[in-house]
Amino acid sequence: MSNPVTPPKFWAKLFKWLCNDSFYEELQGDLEERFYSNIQEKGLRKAKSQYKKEVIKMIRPSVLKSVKRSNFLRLSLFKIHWTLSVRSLRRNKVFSLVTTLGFAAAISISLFLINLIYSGYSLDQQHNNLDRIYRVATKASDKGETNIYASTPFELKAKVAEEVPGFELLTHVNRTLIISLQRNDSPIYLNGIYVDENFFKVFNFAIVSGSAPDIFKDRNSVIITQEASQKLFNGQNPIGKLTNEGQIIRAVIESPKNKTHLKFEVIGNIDGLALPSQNWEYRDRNYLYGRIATNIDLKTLDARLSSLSTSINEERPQGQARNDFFLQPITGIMFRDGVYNEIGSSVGQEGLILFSTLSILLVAMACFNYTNLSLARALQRTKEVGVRKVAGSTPLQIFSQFIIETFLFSGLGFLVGLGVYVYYSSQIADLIPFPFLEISDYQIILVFTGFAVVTGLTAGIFPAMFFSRISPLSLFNKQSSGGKLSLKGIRKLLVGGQITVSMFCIVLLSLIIDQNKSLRSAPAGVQTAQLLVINSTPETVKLLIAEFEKIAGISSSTVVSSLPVIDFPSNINVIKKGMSDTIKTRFINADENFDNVFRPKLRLGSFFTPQLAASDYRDIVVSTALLQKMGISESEALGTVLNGELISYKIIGILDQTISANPLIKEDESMMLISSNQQMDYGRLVLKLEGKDLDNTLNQIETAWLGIFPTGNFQAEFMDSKLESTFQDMFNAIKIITYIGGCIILISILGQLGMALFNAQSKVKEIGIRKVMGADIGRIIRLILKSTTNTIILAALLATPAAYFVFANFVAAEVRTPLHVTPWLLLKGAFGLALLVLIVVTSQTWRVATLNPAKSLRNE
Amino acid sequence: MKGTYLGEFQEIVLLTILVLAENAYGITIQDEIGKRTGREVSRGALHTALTRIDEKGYISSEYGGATAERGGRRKRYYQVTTLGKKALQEAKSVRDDLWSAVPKVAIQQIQG
Repeated sequence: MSNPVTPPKFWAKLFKWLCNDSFYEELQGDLEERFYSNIQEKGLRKAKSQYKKEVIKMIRPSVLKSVKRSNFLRLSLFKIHWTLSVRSLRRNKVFSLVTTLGFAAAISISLFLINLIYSGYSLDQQHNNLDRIYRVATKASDKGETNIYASTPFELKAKVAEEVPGFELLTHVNRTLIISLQRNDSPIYLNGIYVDENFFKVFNFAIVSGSAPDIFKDRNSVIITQEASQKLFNGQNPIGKLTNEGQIIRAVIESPKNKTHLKFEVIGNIDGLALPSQNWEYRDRNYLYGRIATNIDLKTLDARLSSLSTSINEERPQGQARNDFFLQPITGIMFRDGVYNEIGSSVGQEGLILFSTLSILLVAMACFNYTNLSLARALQRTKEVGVRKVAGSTPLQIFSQFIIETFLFSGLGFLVGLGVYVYYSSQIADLIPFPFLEISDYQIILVFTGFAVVTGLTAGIFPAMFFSRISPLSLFNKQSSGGKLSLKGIRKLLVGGQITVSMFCIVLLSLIIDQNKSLRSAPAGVQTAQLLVINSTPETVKLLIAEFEKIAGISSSTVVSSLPVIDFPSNINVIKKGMSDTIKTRFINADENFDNVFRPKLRLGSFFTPQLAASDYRDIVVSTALLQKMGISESEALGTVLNGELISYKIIGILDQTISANPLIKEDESMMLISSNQQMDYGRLVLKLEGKDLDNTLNQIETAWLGIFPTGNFQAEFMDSKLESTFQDMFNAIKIITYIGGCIILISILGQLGMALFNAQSKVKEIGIRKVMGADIGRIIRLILKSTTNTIILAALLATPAAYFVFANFVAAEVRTPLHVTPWLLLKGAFGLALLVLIVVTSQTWRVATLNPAKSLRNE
Repeated sequence: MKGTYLGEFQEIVLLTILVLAENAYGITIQDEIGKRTGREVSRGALHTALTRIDEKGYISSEYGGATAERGGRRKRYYQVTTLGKKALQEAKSVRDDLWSAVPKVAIQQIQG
């Protein structure tokens, strides 16, 4: 009876899985015997259906497996597994290092991102009835464009109070309050909010001293934050002190940082605010918060608000922006959909998605690497597991051993990552404008620990399952167990994906760094060396200049409306006779000393001279780009008249090189210098210093300055250092990007390493045979590296254009002088990474390649 | 169910094992019960009953030889222990007592 027919496979497997092992042989034997006899008596179909029924009826307590929980949790077993794990960690130093570093890199970044998300959601938790506190936001539609504003028009509060029932409390917040306090002769400014009496009923803040409601007794009272109090009064009692504007400090309140999404250093009475006129367009700095009644649901209230919006919109003239008001819950308000005019920091939904995706991606990469690497070691570990199984370990025990081992690695990685995190967290907290809790917050430690546990589980579950399933029989099987590692295609794809992502990072990074370099070295059109910028007031500029003329170290001084290279540009519209449209161009108002201080080069014409009589025209010096834009040829440019809105300008000179404005702003090269006709009494006072004794000159300048402002605070800064700090923001961004990119690159190199090790391990015999047949080492290395090289080439093909696209659209498009991207600039990052990966992989696979064939083939 | 109480189905299983003598294993017991009582018993139900009477010590078992139609698996043969036989005897005498106590008329009515 050579019968290929077997019982239904699924049901047979199900039964094997369900059945208690000690009954399995008897029961399955009986079922099968019945099955075969049924085939003969009743036919195959009947036999199969009978078999299914029998299996289903087997589901009863007397047959089912009993779960042995106690075995898994036994402490002694845990101890043994721990010892085994530590031993295996020591024995495989390279593997341990690689895995730990991978985990550490991913975890450290994830901790930052988790902290951002966690801090964002932990804001505003201290208020009573938090779930009923909402902000009214505006959805403004104008000419087909819709934007969401956190702010609302000032008039809205009265309207809502009148026409929308359902709010228990409404409170107004306006963020235009600025006060100053004198400290050591110089004023220190505090920014803050105006609020009404309901503010402290809706929001709960701890009052440090004084009484907060006192500020509503008159218009001239303010509350300052604890932080501001410490900064200004250094431990002294600030209550009752007067501000420069005449307000009295009535109370000290806890600082809002990491507490609430609201941002303030001082709180004032909104009655003291000069109210804007009735204007529904004006919605820039007013916010409306409310606590809704308990018996109302959000939908009803939103519907009421939207019908109010409609009636308001109908009253307003056509063509104005439509405002739709809606409610936003306070919790997680940092992560609400794209909001303009935020009162505090906001990263929006995109930010939240970006943060979480990035951290999940990183950790997933690290977990995957661990899985990959530990499976790559399967060959050597199969024997260990086989022996343990023969000695009587249950699959569950093997499983728990490998999970514990993974926890050991991820735990170590977590500790290293935590170390990096703690070391950098205070720096990072300063770099980013978001709430960022300190590590001492015990809840965040809980979150972190939970995160580490999840990471360990994710990484360990697959290898643990793999090893727990190994049957000891397969050990004695001739067939290599390498073929058993399934999902090979997916693994290749994932490793390839990693290298593509890191290729993308490194290309983008190198482009950004080059862009930064080229921005710094971009010609500014003016000289910035030894220029000192001094603070002044309109009334005293002339006095100051007269004083400074007496100082020998100053060669010249000038007043400009905005600083070249540093300030944000101001624009003006000009038109030439016969042209149909005006042209927008940058401008700087300058006096006749401009060229002595900034030394711009002229291509044609001359610079400003003092004009004695009032003229119909203001003299201008223009850049060639402006001439091109207006269609004026250089030869006929001098003497041409351009018309502005009120004043006409006559071109008297052409700049050889345009004078740039702030390099981080996208602006074209067209610009002009406008003669201020006489010394300006507003703007920035810039001194050109000469000679070597700068210290002495600076002292003289300070003395002269203090002679005019006896109680003032002398501020002077060199142009070059001002320029440096302009780049600081970009530098900070680069620092963060570099760190994240570096981690991604590290992880993907580890991934490559794992893949190459795996490839090499599974080819040990092949290599041995090749060597016996006479292949040299170079050929063998090439064999091992083949798949790595292919992956790298594919990754470069995918990642380089993507990185270029992102760079061109999001970085280069935002700066004044975009980097000229050459193929070398584009490819050098990719080359560098490829080389690095190849070196790392070769160095690790060298061992396999140089293995003596006599050893590797010994057992055959 | 607990203790030494012998359920009706368990009694039938015990008796069947005795009937089958040397050849009492899962399939034959199942078939024999089916033949003699007309009841289709699932192997699972039989297993439960066997487990129960095994727990009470009424049967013992041992593995026999493997056969091809069982996929190389061994049969498990069951035997009724002395304790089991005693329990059967007891059950029978209880019934006999009861039967003898029933008035004749009532029996005639049953037989009708």
